[in-house]
Amino acid sequence: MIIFKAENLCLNLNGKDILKNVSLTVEKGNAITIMGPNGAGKTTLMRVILGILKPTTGKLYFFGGNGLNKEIKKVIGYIPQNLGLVNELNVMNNILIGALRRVPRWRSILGLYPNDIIDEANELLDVLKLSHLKNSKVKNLSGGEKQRVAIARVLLQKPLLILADEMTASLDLKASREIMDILMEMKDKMNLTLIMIHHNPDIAKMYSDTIFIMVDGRLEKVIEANAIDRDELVRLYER
Amino acid sequence: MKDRLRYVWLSLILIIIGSSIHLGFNPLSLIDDSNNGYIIMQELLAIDFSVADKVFYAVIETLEMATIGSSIGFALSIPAALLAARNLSPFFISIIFRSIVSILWSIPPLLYAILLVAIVGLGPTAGILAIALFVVGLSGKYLYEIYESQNPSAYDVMNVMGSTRLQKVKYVTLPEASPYMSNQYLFLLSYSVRESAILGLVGAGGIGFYIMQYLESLNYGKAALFILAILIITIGMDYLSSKLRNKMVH
Repeated sequence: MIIFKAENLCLNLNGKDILKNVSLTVEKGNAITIMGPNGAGKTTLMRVILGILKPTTGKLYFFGGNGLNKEIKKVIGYIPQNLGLVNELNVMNNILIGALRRVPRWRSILGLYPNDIIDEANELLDVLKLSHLKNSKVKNLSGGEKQRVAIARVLLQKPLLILADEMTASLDLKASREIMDILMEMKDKMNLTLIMIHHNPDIAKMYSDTIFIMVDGRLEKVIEANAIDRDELVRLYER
Repeated sequence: MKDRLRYVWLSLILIIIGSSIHLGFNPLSLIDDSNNGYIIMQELLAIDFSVADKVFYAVIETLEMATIGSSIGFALSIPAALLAARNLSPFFISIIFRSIVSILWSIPPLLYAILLVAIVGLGPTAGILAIALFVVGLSGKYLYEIYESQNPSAYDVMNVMGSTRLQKVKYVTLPEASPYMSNQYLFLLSYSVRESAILGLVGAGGIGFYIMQYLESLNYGKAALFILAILIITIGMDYLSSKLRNKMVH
């Protein structure tokens, strides 16, 4: 089943073509990675998919339907490159942000979350080994702990599709693998679809079904992750 | 580049000299009229402690005026700044509130006090309102700049989820700005104490009111005690607020 489809996306910003006719299809349950050199348009493509930027031309289809509407937004999770956490809030309150669209507006404004949401948040804290940090302010956490908070927040949203922009960029390979293992475990458990951006070819190969190579605003190549070796992948995207 | 800088300096010096001639400014008059200064200083130094009880009440009144005025002003500046911030408010609303905040900020508290004394009469009410109005402007301007400079990625996450403006304010804007806001409140408190001390000069209550009264009746010794009190409370408040702000930062 196709969960997301982009058709001929073009984006022109200040007279410069940032995206040039990008088309891609993502099947339900897949993990795809977009790779490419700096300035290739990866983050811009992700921001267009998320509705943060409007494409100049082209169409987006989610879950077989049309466009990005309020209901679809509820089930799209996003982990930006610097995670988008609120440093002055504690871990629990950061995670609860993920449930904002699952509770009535007045409850979210008063901070009165129903018990089942609180239970789910506590469960995620347990799974992600964050329970002991529940009341700590995010600004006092390590890089890896912050990544786990960002994952917990996006999971509490109960998304069907998660977009993650270089979420392990600030971590070493070992820590990156730990974080990706957690994300993959949750992906399988919750039957999620992932669209990710990675710079590290090892991570991309290890945790993706399909790799899209972007160069200069174009989608140059679509590769099955297990059908290419690491060096060839590096050669392709550093070209 | 060096030549241009030389011209800037030269122009500045010429402006200062020209303005001084235009205004008839003569710093030497301080020496020429030093006898007057000597007499006034002598009288001021003969501090008259018989008005100590009045000083005590005036100090309390000044502190109360500053606390009420700055608190009302600060509380009003939060929604004003939220509506003025370009990243939180629709374009036209933000333009309107930025203008309001800028106008409130550009009028000095003493001018507010003169106008308010004419409207609500002599006394601390005029002083409190004068401080509150100025603080809305001062704090509003500072706060909307803080709100606008916040990390946009937390807002991106909220936008992608389809969150409302109110949700963004509750979960991102206010928590992220909270250390700056507490800091700002403490600064405003000490600033308002200094301002309230002066507002009495135009009849808007506080310690300045007594200073004006005693200076006009040439009771310099009594005025001196009030001036000394201003010195102590402003330095004391400044010290206390900077201590507290440091404590909050670390």
